[in-house]
Amino acid sequence: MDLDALWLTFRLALTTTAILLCVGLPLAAWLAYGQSRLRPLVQALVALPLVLPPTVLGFYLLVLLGPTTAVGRVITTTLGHPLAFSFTGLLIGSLLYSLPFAVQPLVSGMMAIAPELREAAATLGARPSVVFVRVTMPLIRPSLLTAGILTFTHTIGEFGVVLMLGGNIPGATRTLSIALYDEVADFNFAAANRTALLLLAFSFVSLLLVHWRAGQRSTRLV
Amino acid sequence: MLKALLLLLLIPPVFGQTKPVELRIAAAADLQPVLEAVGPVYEKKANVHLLVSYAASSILVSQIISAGPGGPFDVFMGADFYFPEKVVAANLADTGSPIPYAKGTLVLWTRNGSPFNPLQLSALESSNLKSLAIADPEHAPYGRAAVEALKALKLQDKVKDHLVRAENVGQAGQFAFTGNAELAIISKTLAVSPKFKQSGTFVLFPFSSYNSITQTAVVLRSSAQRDAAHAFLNWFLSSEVQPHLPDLGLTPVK
Amino acid sequence: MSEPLLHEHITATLDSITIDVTVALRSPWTVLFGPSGSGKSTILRSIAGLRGGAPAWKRHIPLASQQAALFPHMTVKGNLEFGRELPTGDFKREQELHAERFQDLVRLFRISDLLERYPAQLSGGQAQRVSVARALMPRYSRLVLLDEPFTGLEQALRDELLLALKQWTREHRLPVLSVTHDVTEALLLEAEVIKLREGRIVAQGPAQEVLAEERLQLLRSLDGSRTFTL
Repeated sequence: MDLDALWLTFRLALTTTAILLCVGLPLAAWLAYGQSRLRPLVQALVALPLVLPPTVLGFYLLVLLGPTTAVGRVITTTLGHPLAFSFTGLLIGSLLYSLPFAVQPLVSGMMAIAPELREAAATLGARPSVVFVRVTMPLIRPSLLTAGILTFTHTIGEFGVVLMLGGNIPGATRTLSIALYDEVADFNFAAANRTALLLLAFSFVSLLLVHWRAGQRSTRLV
Repeated sequence: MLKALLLLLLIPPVFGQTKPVELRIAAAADLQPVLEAVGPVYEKKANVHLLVSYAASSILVSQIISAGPGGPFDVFMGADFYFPEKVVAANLADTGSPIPYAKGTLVLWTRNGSPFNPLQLSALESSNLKSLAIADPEHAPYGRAAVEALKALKLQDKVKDHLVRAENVGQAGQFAFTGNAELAIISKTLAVSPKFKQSGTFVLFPFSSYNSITQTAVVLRSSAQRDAAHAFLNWFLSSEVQPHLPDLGLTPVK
Repeated sequence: MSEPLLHEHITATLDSITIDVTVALRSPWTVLFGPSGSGKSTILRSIAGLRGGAPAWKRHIPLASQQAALFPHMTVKGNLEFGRELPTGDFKREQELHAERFQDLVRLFRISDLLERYPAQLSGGQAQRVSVARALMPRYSRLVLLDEPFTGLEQALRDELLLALKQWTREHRLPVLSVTHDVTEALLLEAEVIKLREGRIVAQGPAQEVLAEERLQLLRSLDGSRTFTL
């Protein structure tokens, strides 16, 4: 069992999830409650990674954010190295790749809140940030959990982007899925089996959690 | 008049082309520019349609072996002896030994505008080097050759921390092509292909620094197109192709 | 009061009607009267700030909507205390005043035994009472909007509550604008009535006058089964 790869994969998933939940909440609120005409466009962009082959995303990150473009050069100068072959590069890839898994459950949850509740809060004098913290957030707790679990699990399984961008550096970009791929390519099927089972078990448990939580909903008032 | 037209419609199967035979080729990544250049010539000549999948040798062999008889390919053109030999060992090849078809050459490549122009092998010793891309030595013959060369030139430790392992030699080239890696150790076939030629320069590694790369092929025993497969390999080994290999970055097998 | 405490022009388009009204409130209690679909709720929402203009949370005009809209994740007590304003100046005094108001309204609406319950555990009528009480909790409101506040309450309770509320709001100088389609309610409240029909104000004045016709119809339909005093 490649412990390095395991730890790296976990770090990547954890960091991605934390950042996406923080960024996703205001974005979801804007999508759910905003008035701007740009919303459908942003919604489509957010959903894009769902249908985009991960290799395409990886490719664009490699090329468009690589040292041959102006943007890429800025990034290279800022980071001190190109985006590729680094944990940062993977992180950015993951953030984009898992974005819809974080944002969409949040948007659904927010839209499921009866508007009268937020309106009542407003007429009682609560400014929008207070409404968000005291009314919206408590009521979307199940969605937050779903978003978190899905994002985490999805990132754990990420392969295409990492393959395109990672460079397979142990400890930095050699995630579990890459390790699995390597093990197969090395004809080390015993190890490959172990890694695959681990990934499978993990995904299954996560999905179980999500659905178990959803089932619980009917008994609680939130 | 109408009757004549209808008759005409019935005729094509007789006078028209017979349906081309489809030949499915699993090819090592370094062959992409080569097969893209010579493939169409053969297709026209032999009325064959070539369906080529490029990937790292180990991946292709993995697929072939797991699929067993009746697998997805008719021919496997590898970049060394070791991987096609595995197919033979798995009793899936129709010859007792892989068929050599060309010799490969290892080069160091860098992009125009990189800090290592004009390019020399000593660039590998530079302290400014951030990333050197090679194909994964476990999966790709050119990757293995790269490691051999680095060892022979006593550069292995120096570059250890800068090594970036690509899936296959094509991706190694891509990393350098996009500027993400400053240097890449790739096959000459890639280095002389139009895309790479236009955007960078290369230098050869001394032939003494790595075991010679003899590229071999096998025809799958269970293939329905074995005759067509051997015909193709024979053509590749013929004087129609071999003398032109140097232009494509390979050297003739004899 | 000669200077109107609220003067607003409201326009809207609902399914089949266009609303175009200028609402001017002068009385302690004004009733917006009209059949369903005449745009009453829309007008209330406009005044509350839920349809544009100055944002609702700045207006100090609480709205108790028709559907109770209690926060399901808070107890009744939590709901009531939601609108707790930031203390300005004397913290201790504010606490006292707030507590006083709380006790007042809990008593008035008879909800002291409901305080620890969650909205899901309340009946329709109970939820309604809590909703209205909650709208009355903020102490710096300039107006309170009640959308059908007594619908769903059984008659005896409604009558008591109505009169108690009328007195309480006068005492605390809190003007009210309520919506109803119940004639008796309007008459009992001795309110100023704004009569709406198809999105337009067709009459405005004391209940006795504006609803004279409806009152007559009501008296005729009552077979003397109930004594009716005004």
